[in-house]
This record gives sequence, structure tokens and C-alpha cells, in this order.
Amino acid sequence: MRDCANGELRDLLPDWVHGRLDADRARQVATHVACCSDCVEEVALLRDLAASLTAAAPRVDIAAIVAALPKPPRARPRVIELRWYQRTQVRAAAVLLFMAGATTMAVINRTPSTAGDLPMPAAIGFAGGVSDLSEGDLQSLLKEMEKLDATPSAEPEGGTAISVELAEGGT
Amino acid sequence: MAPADPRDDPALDAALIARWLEGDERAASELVARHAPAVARFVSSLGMRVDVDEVVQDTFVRAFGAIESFRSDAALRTWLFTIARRLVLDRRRSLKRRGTEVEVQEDDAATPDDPLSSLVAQEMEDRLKAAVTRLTPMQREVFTLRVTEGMGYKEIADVVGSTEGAARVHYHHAMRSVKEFLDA
Ligand SMILES: [Zn+2]
Repeated sequence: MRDCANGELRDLLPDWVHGRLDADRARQVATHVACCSDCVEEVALLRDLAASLTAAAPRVDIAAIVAALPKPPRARPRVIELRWYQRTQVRAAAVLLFMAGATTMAVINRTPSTAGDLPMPAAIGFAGGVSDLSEGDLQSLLKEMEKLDATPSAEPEGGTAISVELAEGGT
Repeated sequence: MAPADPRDDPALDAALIARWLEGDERAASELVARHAPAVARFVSSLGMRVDVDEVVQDTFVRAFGAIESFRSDAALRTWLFTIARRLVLDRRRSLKRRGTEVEVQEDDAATPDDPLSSLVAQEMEDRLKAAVTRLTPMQREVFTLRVTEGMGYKEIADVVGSTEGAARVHYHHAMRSVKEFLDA
């Protein structure tokens, strides 16, 4: 087997066999190979070698490899620090809830009961100044508001599905 | 014109890596399926006869463990080969330290699932393998990367820790040696 005298072109034969040349280069090589018996032989040899070396390689168990891989890093939950006006909104919502609860209590207390003492709903047991709300209280209120936000709407979703994790010390 | 090689799609690799980083584990299966057979071929070409599957698995475990450090401008396959090569060299060193014979690929016997069935084809295939086996370790490594993977000299140099020019010289010496063996 002889080496083609066109060394530069011969150097490209493996790239050509593997389709790694751009269109112009590939055309140039194809034109040369079509009329060069040395390159025809070398291309055949390259293909035979690739086939034989590929066949000789051991099979791999894809599933076993995948099972051994580390878990992908999950997207961390977004941490939203409430700004002062957001806190104000949450407190305002708390005031409304508190007032609604108090009104309900007043109504219940004024209504003559025939069924004895009604158990006091836990939500109404809330007492103390609204401004004293802890982060935990704010968080549960915010979750309640999210539930309301999550109700189906005709409007397209625009970021209402908030994954909230209150930042520490956000008072 | 030869068909474009579908394995050569850095954009697809980058997209699969991004999907995996976002938690999509199926992307990992696709990446492994795309590259594991080539990594196994490469590991075999380095002279590994046993534990090839173990080295291939370790390669992917390491790669995925450090995938955030992978530069997307480089080819994923080149990076995987670099990791696999390091693992093979580490194994060799540790085997040598323990005084165990280093496994070197000799003329491989035909495997049961050999795709070539006729005796003549088998004989030809054995001769081709023997021709490659006779090469020096560096020549065989460079030659295999060029012939079976179609890698360019720059990529080969990155994998074997050499220069582009040296990789070209190794390839052409190897090709000459293979032709001489087959002509004899
Ligand atoms: Zn030619």
C-alpha cells in the first residue's frame, strides 16, 4: 500500500471518513479520492480499521453507569426576603383576618346557642398586637394568601406560584 | 460527501448537561448512551483487558461530579477521554506498585458477538487488530483516536497531553507501520 503523494490531502482522510470537514473541504477531498487509487485504498483501510476496532471494544452497561452517577444538583428553593411594604401588606391582611375573626366571635357570642358551648376556632384564639406578629405567623399567613392566588384563573400564570422560604431575621 | 457525525454535537451535549444540572436525570442517560461506547473503545485501546466497564463507569461518575467545571467550549468527549486516560494511568501505577502484571492488550481473540462471520473477514479483522497491537502505546492511542473517533490532532493532543504536531507525527508513523504489516 502506497502513500498518496498529496500529503496535505491524505492528512484529511480520517476527518473526511468521519464527516468532520466543512462542505468545501469535503468536496475537495471527494474529488481527489475519486481519481486517486492510493487514497481509495487508504479510505478503505480507515473504514475497515474503524469497524474492526469498534467491534473489538467491550460492550458497556449504560443503565449500570447511569445508576452509579451522582444525583443532579436540584434547583434550590428561592428565598424571598420580604421588603418593608410586603410586610406591611401581610400585616394589613392579618388585621383584616383578625377583625373578621373578632366580628365572627361577637356574632357567635350574641347568638343564643341551643347546642351548648361552641368550640372556639383556633384561628380566632389569636390575641395580641398585630405588629407583634412573628415570622412564623407571617409565613403561615403568606401561605394562606398563596392558596388564594393558586385558585384557577382565566389569566395566564405570571409567577404566582411562589415557592417561599422566609429569610431569617426579616423583621 | 461523507455523512456528518451525529456524535459531534457540542450544542446537544451542552443542552443535555444543562438539563441534568436542572434535575433532569434522563439527560444523564442520553449523555452516557452517546459517549460510553467511545470511552470503552478508547480505554481498550490503552491496553486495558479487564475492568474496562469499571473504568468507563468511574469516568462518568467523576465527570458528572465535576461537570460544573466543564468548559462548554471544549468537546465533552475529549474531556471524558482525558478523565478515562488518567484513571487508566492511575490503575497502572497502583498495579505496578503492588507488583501485579500490568495488563497490556495482546492480539485479541475473536469475541462471541463478533459482527464479521465469514472466516476470511475474521482473518482480515485479526490482521488489522494485530497491526494496531504492534504499535507503540502512544502511537496506538493516537491512531485509535484518529481512526475510530475521527478526532482532530488538537483534540488528540489534549487527551494524551502532547502537542498537535507530535500527534500528527505519531499518527502518520502508525499508519505507515500498519500498512507495512499488512503488506508483508
Ligand atoms: Zn491521493
